[in-house]
Order: sequence, then C-alpha cells, then structure tokens
Amino acid sequence: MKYSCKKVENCFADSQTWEYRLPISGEAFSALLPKGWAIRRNTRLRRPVFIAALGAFSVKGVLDESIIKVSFPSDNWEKEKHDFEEWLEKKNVEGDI
Amino acid sequence: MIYLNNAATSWPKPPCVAEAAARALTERPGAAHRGGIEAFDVYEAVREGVARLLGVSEPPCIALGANASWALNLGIFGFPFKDGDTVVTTRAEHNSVLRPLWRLESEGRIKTVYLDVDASGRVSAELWRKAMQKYHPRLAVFTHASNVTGAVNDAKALIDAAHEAGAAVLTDASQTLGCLDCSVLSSADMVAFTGHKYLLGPQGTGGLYVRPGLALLPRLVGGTGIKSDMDTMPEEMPLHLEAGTGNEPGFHGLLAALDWAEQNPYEANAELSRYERLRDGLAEAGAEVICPGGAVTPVISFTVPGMSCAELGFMLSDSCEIVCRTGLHCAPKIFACLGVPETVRFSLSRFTTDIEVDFAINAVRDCIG
Repeated sequence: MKYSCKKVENCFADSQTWEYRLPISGEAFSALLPKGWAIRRNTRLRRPVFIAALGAFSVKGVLDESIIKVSFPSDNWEKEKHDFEEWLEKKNVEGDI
Repeated sequence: MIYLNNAATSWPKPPCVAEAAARALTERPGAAHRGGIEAFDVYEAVREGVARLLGVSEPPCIALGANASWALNLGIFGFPFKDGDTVVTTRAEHNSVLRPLWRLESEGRIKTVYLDVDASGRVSAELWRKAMQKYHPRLAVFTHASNVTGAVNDAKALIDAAHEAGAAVLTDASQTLGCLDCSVLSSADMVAFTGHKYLLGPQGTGGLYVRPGLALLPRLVGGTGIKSDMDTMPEEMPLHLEAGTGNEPGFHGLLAALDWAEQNPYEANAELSRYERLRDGLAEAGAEVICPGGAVTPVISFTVPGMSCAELGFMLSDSCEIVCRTGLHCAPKIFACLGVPETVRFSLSRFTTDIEVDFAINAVRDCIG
C-alpha cells in the first residue's frame, strides 16, 4: 500500500503522532488491522470514526476518509513507526494517494 | 464548521478589520513618530483606544508590538532586577510568563515562587497577600483570567497587596481586554495585552502598558525613525521600547476593531447566558466541567471520564468539525491544581450563537455515547 505521512504536533514534547494518507478509507484500513487490536467505532457522530488501540499504540480516523492519525508509544517510537510502515508497504492494496 | 477557539485567536472579526488592514497595504505607508499636524499616526490612535479600555491617562506609555508574549518578555526581561530578587507568580500563568521567568531563574538572577490556584484556576487573594508579606518580591506577575478555566482573578486585591509589600505588578490581560472591564488594572505597573483575542484585531498586534516612572531596559534596540543620531534608544515612551518598523496593516486592523467595539459594546449578559447554557449542557451530557464561580471569561474547560482529551478532541474536530483546543493550553503548571492532566477547551466569542452552543453540546453527548 502506498502512503504519505507527516508529523502532527501537540502539547507534549515527546508525542509521536503522525498523519498518514492512504489509498483506502479508514473503514477499509481498520478491517486490515491484525488480531489483538481493540477497535471501537462511533457511528453516532456526523462523520463516523474508528479508534483502534494496541497498548500505547493507537490509530484514529474518520471511517470514510483516507487520512488516519497514528500515535506511537514514546519509548521506542522509531522502531514502532518503522514496523508500522513496513506492515503498510506489505499490504497488497492498489490505488494512489 | 463551528469555531470555539476564541481564547487562542478570535474569529470571525468584524469585516471592517480586514478592510482596514487591506487598505493599509494598498495605501502609502505612514511615518510613525514623525508627527506633524496633518499626519495620521495609527499607533497613536491605537494607544488612545487601549488607554481608554485600561483606564489610564498616558497613551504614550503603551508600547506596541507583536503580541502578549512580546509584551511579557519585555516586561520581565526589561525589569530592573537586582541579582537574588524574588518574583511571585501563580501556577495559572501562560508559558509567555513561565518561560521568561524560568530563564532568569536558570541564570541565577531571580528566585521564582509559584502560588497554587484553586480547583477553578483562581488565585486566593488571601494566599497571595500572605505570599507578598512572606517573600517581599520585587515583581509580582499574575494573569487577569486563566486561559484554561476562564476564572477571573480579583485584580484589585492582588495589585493592592503587592504594592503594600513593595512589589511592582505585571498583569497579563490577554484573556480579558475586550471582554471585561479592565480599568481595574490601571493601578498595575505593567499590563500586557494582545490584539488578536477579545479585542478582535489581527494576529501580530499587542502591547505593554508601563506606568510612568518605571524604567524598563529595552531588550530589542534598533531603528526608531527619529533621533537617529543617538547611540542608545531614546528615553521617552513609547520610543524607548519600540525598535524597528511596526505591523502597520495589523494596527490599522486593530484600530478598526477598537472603533467597532466602541460602537458595538460587548453584551456581557448575553455572553454569560451562552456561557451558562454551554456549561450546563456539557455537564448534563456527561462531561466533567470546571466551573469557576464569580467572574469568568467565556472559556470552558472539561474532561470526559474514561476518555482521553486527545480522543475527544479528535472526534470533535475531525468528525464534528468543531474547532477547539485540547491539552495544556500553554499553561502547564495549572493542571496539578485542577486535578486533571489536561482538558478540552471551548471558548466563545460575541459572535457565537445559541445554535452553535447547542451543536457543541450535542456533539459532546454523541462522543460520549
């Protein structure tokens, strides 16, 4: 799967949150997440969202949008980010971003 | 989109603000400070407008610059400290106060005492008075209102207690000038303000009032357009503290905002009614709302049990298209006093409608589920 990413800052110096633009919707992305991830959906909202978590690793997105927000655990974030991107790249998903 | 981030930057502005700024960019630039009977000096007019709001009678004592951070840096770094002086401030302060103080303390020049605020973000006048008597600071710094909770401090009591103990007072009016009567601050030694919040002016405008007789050391020196044959900054205000070319289009915008606000006075009762509607609605929806009693600005901080502010903020912004702020709001020390690690903040303006307030309440209800 192709993607582009950019860091998102917030109030905390050690925060490691990145936005990823994907060729698929948030809904399709959340369906790809492996077992072990706790995935919640809120469909009451104007634009329904999903929030997925695996320990301190979290992914959030609007179900019908192609941008997701990924927060990596602050200790070890570089390896986690590398592994996540490698996982994305290995996903056999067609489409441009 | 619903804009509830007015405590950071107010929006929208009255249309005349953009018109005035745009006109200034297309017209021939002015020549600040050079005077002359026919010259219109926008800076002078802004000083007069701000002086009326502050209830001070010396407009030239208001130095104009980029924002409140500029003003607070000027007031703190320019203050004539002697090594070992003590500064008393509160844990509700913005980083534009905390970071300059931290730097002076880290250089060994001052000792800073941080006073707790109560669970609503307000400093107790009694605690403040006792601290003044105990520490006898050279400088006392407090925000007129918390940018996190909206709690307004009893400025008169704090200023009087500081003066009784021999301290000079620097007040941060960023959150109040334009939405509260700030004439109570006229007895402070310095008042920092910004143009882009409740004054409804453009970003990049602000200033510092310095009472006559208090000599600050200018930390930024350079061209003043006049008296260029002197090696040092001229002693008279505001020249003493204003080096370099100013943001003329921005101040034309701020002047238009000040004039507009004089013709369209802030309706405190209507604002309070919307504030209470939002506060009560959020609480009813299941949010834990910080509710200061007494005087408040139109700022509401809240949390939701079992949900991080980042998660709630994401849903409000990305799903509900509500522009708000989550996190520390650049005031990191207050959270220990509030008993929460961070908050979501909604801040209203005079242009916020009841429909928008109800939309925000329903959005939070839907986020909570």
